[in-house]
Amino acid sequence: MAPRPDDDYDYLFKVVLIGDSGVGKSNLLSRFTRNEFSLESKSTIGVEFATRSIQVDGKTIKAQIWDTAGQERYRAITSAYYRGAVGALLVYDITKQTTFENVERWLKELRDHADANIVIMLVGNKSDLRHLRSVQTEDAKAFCERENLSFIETSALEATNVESAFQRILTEIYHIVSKKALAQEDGPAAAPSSGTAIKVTEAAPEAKKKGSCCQSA
Amino acid sequence: MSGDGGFPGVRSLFGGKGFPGKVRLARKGQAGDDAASGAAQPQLEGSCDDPGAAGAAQELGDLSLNGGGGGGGGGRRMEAVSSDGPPAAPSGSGSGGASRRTSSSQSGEAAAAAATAAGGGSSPPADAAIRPQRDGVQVAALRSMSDTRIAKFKRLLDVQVVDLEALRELTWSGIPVALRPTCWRLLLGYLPPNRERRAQILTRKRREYRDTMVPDYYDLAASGVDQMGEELGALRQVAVDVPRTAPGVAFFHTPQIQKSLERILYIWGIRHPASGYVQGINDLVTPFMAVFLSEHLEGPMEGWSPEECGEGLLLDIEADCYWCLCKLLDGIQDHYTYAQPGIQRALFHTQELVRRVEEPVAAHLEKEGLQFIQFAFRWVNCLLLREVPFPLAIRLWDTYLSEGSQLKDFLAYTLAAFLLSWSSQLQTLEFQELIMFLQRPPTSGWGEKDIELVLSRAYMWRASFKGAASHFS
Repeated sequence: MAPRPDDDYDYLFKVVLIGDSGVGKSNLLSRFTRNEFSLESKSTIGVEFATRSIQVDGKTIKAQIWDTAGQERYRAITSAYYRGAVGALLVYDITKQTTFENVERWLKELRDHADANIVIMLVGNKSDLRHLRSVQTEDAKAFCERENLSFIETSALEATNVESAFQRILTEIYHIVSKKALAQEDGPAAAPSSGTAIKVTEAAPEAKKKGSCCQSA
Repeated sequence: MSGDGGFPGVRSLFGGKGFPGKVRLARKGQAGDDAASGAAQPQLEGSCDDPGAAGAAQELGDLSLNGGGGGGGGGRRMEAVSSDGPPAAPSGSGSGGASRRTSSSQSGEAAAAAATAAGGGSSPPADAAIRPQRDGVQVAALRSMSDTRIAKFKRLLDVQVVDLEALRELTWSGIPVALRPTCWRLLLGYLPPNRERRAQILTRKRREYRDTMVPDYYDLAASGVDQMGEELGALRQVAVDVPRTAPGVAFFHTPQIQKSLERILYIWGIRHPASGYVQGINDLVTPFMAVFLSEHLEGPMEGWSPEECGEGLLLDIEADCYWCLCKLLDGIQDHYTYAQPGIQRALFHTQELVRRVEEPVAAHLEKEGLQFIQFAFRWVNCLLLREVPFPLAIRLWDTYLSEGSQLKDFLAYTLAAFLLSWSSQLQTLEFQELIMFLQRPPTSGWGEKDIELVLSRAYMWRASFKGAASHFS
């Protein structure tokens, strides 16, 4: 598939990557957007940004992904980026039980700061470290069923399931958005512009009017 | 694997090259104003933690750019301008260096001058700042400039009680490699100016760290006895970040240095509960570690084996790093407390400055919906350490530490000057391109003159705006 020009997309979805420090958020992002992995990456400070476009049902979906710092201290800063996000990849490390235990706290963060209908996918990363696994797949699956989340295990190092993790969440978002658009078209008060594109960049000027974006928390 | 192309120039920094004696004839200027400098001198405070010295360091920088010493003769002035220390940035015509960003520099100058004029008040007039001064310049004398500069450092240091104010003037423009460890300790107030007391204080501080702090804080937590949840979390956070510290520099990843970093960061966090350890503080230790190790290890940094130092010496170095980190962070602790207000303020100041200095850039960023916090948060959080090659970060530290208590204020000027290094390019980019560009600014090919250009523009803008500083608040 030839890469399309950057601006040529049908939908623009803002997605955030969240989860504890060191679970591999930045490497998931670099694997997805640049097909790169680094064992020697530095910690993320604040947020970092990358994009990639994929095809879903013949439509071009551009994902604008904000990778956030994992440490608690940064939440006041990073939670400002939840606004306008239509998807969240909540990442834990399958070899570190505490990063899985903290998933509940991250969900609360999302409930407090993100849109109510944000699509959340739980991602158990580092699946290549089989011998060090401390979080069982069944436990994570059961948790996701209770919380109504999607679930996948990935290895950014081996490039396992990274593509499908992003593909799945973007497809899910796309289906929700297009269904919504359809419903609105059927409805009596169909707005002509709805459903064409969710341009998250449009949210930026609005945020600016309110002053510094991180004061919202 | 390293995405940022390693650490070019490390060799030149630690390989004994030091001062290459490159000579550049610059116009004087550099916002210099003898009257202002002279007037400021009586207020200069040596203590780096003296908040009352507001404004003093401005003049300090002023003096150093002019060659150290308001009352100095032409020879002294010429010396600093043309050494490889200060860049030729804010000069008008005739400056040979830094040509690749000349246009943006000049537009910045014009804007700064205009803003100065508009700001009025006590700001020194911009035309005074670019007044040519070549008195006493003799080309032959320039050749031995680096020697002269080192000699000047030695003159300052080889006395019973070091004149810290004079030292700050000199160190602002860069410190010779061999003298850097001592100068940094002095600038931070870790070493006392009085030579007689130094050995005693060093011994006491190092012993306190080794015999009290390591066992009381670190060993206890690491042993797993008597752990509270918070301490465990802090230890875990530090343990996650230590292996990710300076990934391109091998010696940081030796077991000894990894352990040292872990202890320094954990103990700092526990002893500073208002912020605790915050990611990125690990980066801030690395210049100290590299510089203090350079006293004991030969050759380029890439080949260092810290274990050669022996355990006792490494512990001393670790203690020095710890205390110096404390001193550095004392002045910027609100960068790391809840919601990081110090960083927010620095970003706000930076944005205001960009607006004042190069309105078209500010307008473009605004039109694209780009907020400073989206790209410059890390710049402040790690004091630009992540944005420049490591040896240049060490050069940056020379100036930061010379600024002392004024660093907080100076940082916004530095960030604005750093951003505007690419002012014309930025205006051609859209939101997404902007953010991608600015989260990895292209500095891998930078040399000292590039970072010094940033510093001297920052310096000049501060001098221009100092009378109008209230526009910040």
